[in-house]
Amino acid sequence: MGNQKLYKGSLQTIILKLLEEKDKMYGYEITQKVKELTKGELNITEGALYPALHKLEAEGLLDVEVAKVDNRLRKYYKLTENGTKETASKLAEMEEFLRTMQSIVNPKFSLE
Amino acid sequence: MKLNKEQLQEIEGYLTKKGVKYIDIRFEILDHISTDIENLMEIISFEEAFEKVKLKWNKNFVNRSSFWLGITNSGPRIFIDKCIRIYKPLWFKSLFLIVVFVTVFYSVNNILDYSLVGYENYVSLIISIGFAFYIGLIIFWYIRMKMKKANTTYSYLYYKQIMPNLFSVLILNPYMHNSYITREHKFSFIMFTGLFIFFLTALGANYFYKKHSETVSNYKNYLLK
Repeated sequence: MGNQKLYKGSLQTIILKLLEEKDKMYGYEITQKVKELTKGELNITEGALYPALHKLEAEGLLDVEVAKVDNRLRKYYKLTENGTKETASKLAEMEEFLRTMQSIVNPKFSLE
Repeated sequence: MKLNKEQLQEIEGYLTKKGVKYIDIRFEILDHISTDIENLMEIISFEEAFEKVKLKWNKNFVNRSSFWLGITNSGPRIFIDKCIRIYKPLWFKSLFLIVVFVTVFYSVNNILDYSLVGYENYVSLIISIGFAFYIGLIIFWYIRMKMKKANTTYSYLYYKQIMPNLFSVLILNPYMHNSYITREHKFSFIMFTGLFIFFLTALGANYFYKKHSETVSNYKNYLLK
């Protein structure tokens, strides 16, 4: 939980990665999926999730689809064509970053 | 456990009280809060779950304003933040285009040897037509947006950032046609920069109008039911 600040800069990459794996997701689903994947280590707050989603949407990386579920409307996010390209680029950047960090923090071990 | 109609209405009332009225953000938050409460209702009552969820969300609804949108324009934090995320990149793009325009226009205007003697009336006529077209377009889009009877982040930006520009027309009005041509009978660099800013505002207005229409059409089928 103390690592939240370290994760903060990677939030957009995390969202893009999740949407790359699943065709479309809604806000609450994203928070739960991240919690599940990180075994509760990373807890995305609403105050961090929605600004990130809205930024990606404004940049044209995400598209929106609305559907009626249980008497209310659900807004799904999905990757646009540009979003798919950006995801690949962001993931490559992230891998490079992790490799660099690994070589500084623990040079004996390699990610490869 | 699924929420009933009354419970959903109670959550909607909470959102209304907090000023979350723009459909692109309201339905999204309503769904998030509802899903969260439904999951909590497996172990606690609706009332307890709602209070717990409200505690998480309240800080996102604190009233705030921003320099980017004008300090008199305030709203719930989550909404204002969304507006800034849309508006700020457009502002920087516009600034870049203005710098390019100013550089090119100023250089070309100084290098070229020309005289507008005898063309004053034509220049004035073209500017007047341009102004009429600009005002007509901004009002037309405004009416079309109002007719859709739904508020979105984009309609808010249109009303707060584009509409006030109509008042600027009074400052840069077509009747000041003498100011558009300098004493050296050339185009006035300052006045044409003003016109270019109006042109960019029209592009911004078109963007907000299109995005508003797109957002409303996403929800249209459900809003009518």
